[in-house]
Amino acid sequence: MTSTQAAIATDVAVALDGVTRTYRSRAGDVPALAGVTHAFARGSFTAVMGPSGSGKSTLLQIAAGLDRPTRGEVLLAGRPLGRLDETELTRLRRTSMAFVFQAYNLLDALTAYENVALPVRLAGGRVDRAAVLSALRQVGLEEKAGRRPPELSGGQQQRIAIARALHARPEVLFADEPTGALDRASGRQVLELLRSASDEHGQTVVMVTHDPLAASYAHSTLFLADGRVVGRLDRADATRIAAAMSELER
Amino acid sequence: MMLAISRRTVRRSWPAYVGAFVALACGVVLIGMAVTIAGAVEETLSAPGVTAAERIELEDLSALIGIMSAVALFMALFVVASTFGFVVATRQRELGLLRLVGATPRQVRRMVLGESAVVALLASAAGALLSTLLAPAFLALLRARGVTTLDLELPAPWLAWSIAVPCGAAVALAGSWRASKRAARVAPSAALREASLERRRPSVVQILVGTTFLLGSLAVLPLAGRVSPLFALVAAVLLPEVVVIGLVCFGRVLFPWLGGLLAAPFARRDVSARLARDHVRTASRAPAALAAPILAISAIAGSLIVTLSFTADWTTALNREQLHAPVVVETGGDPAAVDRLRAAGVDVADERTTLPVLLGADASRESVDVVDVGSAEQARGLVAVRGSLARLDRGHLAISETYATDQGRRIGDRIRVQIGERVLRPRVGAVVRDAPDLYGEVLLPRALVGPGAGTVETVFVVPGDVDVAAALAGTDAEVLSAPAWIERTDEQTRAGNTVGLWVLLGPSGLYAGIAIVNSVLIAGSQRRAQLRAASLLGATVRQLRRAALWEAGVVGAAALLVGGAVVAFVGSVVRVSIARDVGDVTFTLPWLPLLAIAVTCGGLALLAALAGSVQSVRALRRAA
Repeated sequence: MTSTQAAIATDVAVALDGVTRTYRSRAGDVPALAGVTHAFARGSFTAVMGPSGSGKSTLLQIAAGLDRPTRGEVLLAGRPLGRLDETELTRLRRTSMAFVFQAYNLLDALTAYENVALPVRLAGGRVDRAAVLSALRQVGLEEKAGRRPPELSGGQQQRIAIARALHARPEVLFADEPTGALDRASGRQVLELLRSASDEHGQTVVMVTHDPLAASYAHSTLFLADGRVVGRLDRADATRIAAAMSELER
Repeated sequence: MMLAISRRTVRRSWPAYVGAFVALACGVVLIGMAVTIAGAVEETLSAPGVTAAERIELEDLSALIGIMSAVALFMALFVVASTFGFVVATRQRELGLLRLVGATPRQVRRMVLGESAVVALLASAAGALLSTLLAPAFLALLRARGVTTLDLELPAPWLAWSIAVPCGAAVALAGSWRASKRAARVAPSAALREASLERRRPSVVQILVGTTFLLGSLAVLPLAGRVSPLFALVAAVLLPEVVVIGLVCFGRVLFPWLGGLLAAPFARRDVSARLARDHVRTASRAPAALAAPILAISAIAGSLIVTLSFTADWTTALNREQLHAPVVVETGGDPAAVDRLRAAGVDVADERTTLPVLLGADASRESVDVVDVGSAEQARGLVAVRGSLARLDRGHLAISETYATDQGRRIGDRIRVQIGERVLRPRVGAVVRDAPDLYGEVLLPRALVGPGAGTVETVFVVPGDVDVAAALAGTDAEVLSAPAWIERTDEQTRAGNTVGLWVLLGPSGLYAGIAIVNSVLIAGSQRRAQLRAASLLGATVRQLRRAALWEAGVVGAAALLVGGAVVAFVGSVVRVSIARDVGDVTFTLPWLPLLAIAVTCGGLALLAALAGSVQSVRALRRAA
């Protein structure tokens, strides 16, 4: 390994190198990503924005190894995902990644506590009860530990999913429209939790959103259009982000 | 870990598993009973003082229950497979989520198998207990109905448990195997998808199996004219199963297409019918799952009913063709009647005498006919198709065409016959035409057996000048004209067929019912999101309910139509074979039982659809 590669391996959590993804359809090949190269620095909180169909969700899925690129390479902590088989990829996901979505983050059959403990159990590890409860405490839901998801509000479910991510302490946390279905107060809570995951725990957060206010919680915002990275704003407020989006959608 | 999730999943979403539970539990009950009865029979048979007749009676009884439970378990396999297929299909997002948070494909697979293990465990326990409770009651019922007069001794219950419970577990495992494989293939990204299009194209294995089975069954048609009716009868029992498996392989294409076609004329007039048609055409899994049990039971039961009816037509035609004696006497077991007939001086008194023997190298217990060749030729039209009746003497016997084919016997072969302690080894002197009502499959000439042996049940009489009725006055015998006897035999055959059908098809019908209700209910719960969307768009509760009924109706009709085609195919195979054997035969189509099957299947599907839609609408209201 050269010194530059070693530096990338330590400073970069996820790197996309010339990633292209095309989908086959009857009308011909449809490009969703067209040669995206980007490095998500360790401990950073990045928002990914763009108009509908710009490739935001595809980028997130490819970065998380849920989808494979047609061309190009994805590296997680310097390790290329393309060469891993399904089970190796699952093991890597188990230890290095966590996910929070707009909806449907939790298993209805399990209590909040069990949902948080699930990744550790799946990995065959011993569950530290105090650590699970501490993760629930961090999201303010320790007293709801015994409840099942259908008994919780959307915002609470989202926070449980974040508690699961905090407890497993994965390197990267992927979030797809995590506040899309929430009211403003619950949405703010969720975004603050994501921010603290990055600031206080050093986790890398990649969040897809269409809401400039949500994006303003991130350290930087990446803009996508037609499957390409077309711009980037660092430490921008919601107004600047909204202006940049309006420019793109024009 | 995965088992813990399985346990919770089953506990939370148990309604989806009810069908599999009931089917498995019923199977375990039947197997448990079969083992208990077989054990009781075994113990009783070893007791001293059991007669040969009682022995045969008991062995038949345990065989019948054994077949019943095997059929039940076979059908349970389908119910379990369809339940778990649905469960996996409806839980794509949940399984995707599990994969996303770190479950390996193997862990997901273990979870689905674990769920089937939980269901199997509960169903087996319930079934085993129930079978232990029911066995004494069943034996009491058998005694009360006069099926057996013996006091059967029940074996210890653990014997039944040790066989029935593993059987139930094996069926659950086999039924959920494919679903678990499919579950393991669910991609983690399935958690992100709102809905997915259902796959319709059959898999390569399905195409191969389906094509082989369908072409194989079609190949039977040209052979039908060349085989004996009894052989065709056996083929007709197996053929529908083969055709059904072949058709089910293409079910996901066939039933949505046919259902859509049937709904088309109504879709223009009724918006509910249009909704139903569009859903049937796009959702391939639900129509295929509902159609499969309806097709299976209508095709199998229908074919059996038609085949048995045609067989009765065949034997009746044979009786008409061969019975030359104008009068038939049923002796009613009264030896005095036989003596009086012999003394009365009629032209011919051809006695149908049966004798229990141990037949063949394996000494199987069978009943053979003892014939006086001359009178049988005159009264019963006994005729040789190979060899010669003139050869029947101390060293030769005759066999029927079917026996010759089944056992692979030819003229000149030796057959071992043991009568009591006496062992004979006569050769086959003649092969005679089949006529099951007039004589059995093996005929020993009187010269071979010696006088007096056997019991006389029926005497075929050419009376000459004698008034037979007057001659037999005061005995238990009944005197019938030949046409009356033929008609009565025909009625008895059909009544016997009905009883056999009930015993064999009863459990399978029950299973088909469970499968129909199960698939409609699960498909209904799967569709709630779409119902919600339709109701938001302005569909009334009435319209939604009607749409559910239309859907079950057109899919049920499509399945019954295909089932009817299978029955017609099997029926024509049997018909061709019978028409070759006897010239003058009228075929009776048993419309009433066929209609009853169609009405029951259709009714069950509609009732289940109604119940499912009421449940869905209630859930919608709760959600609102």
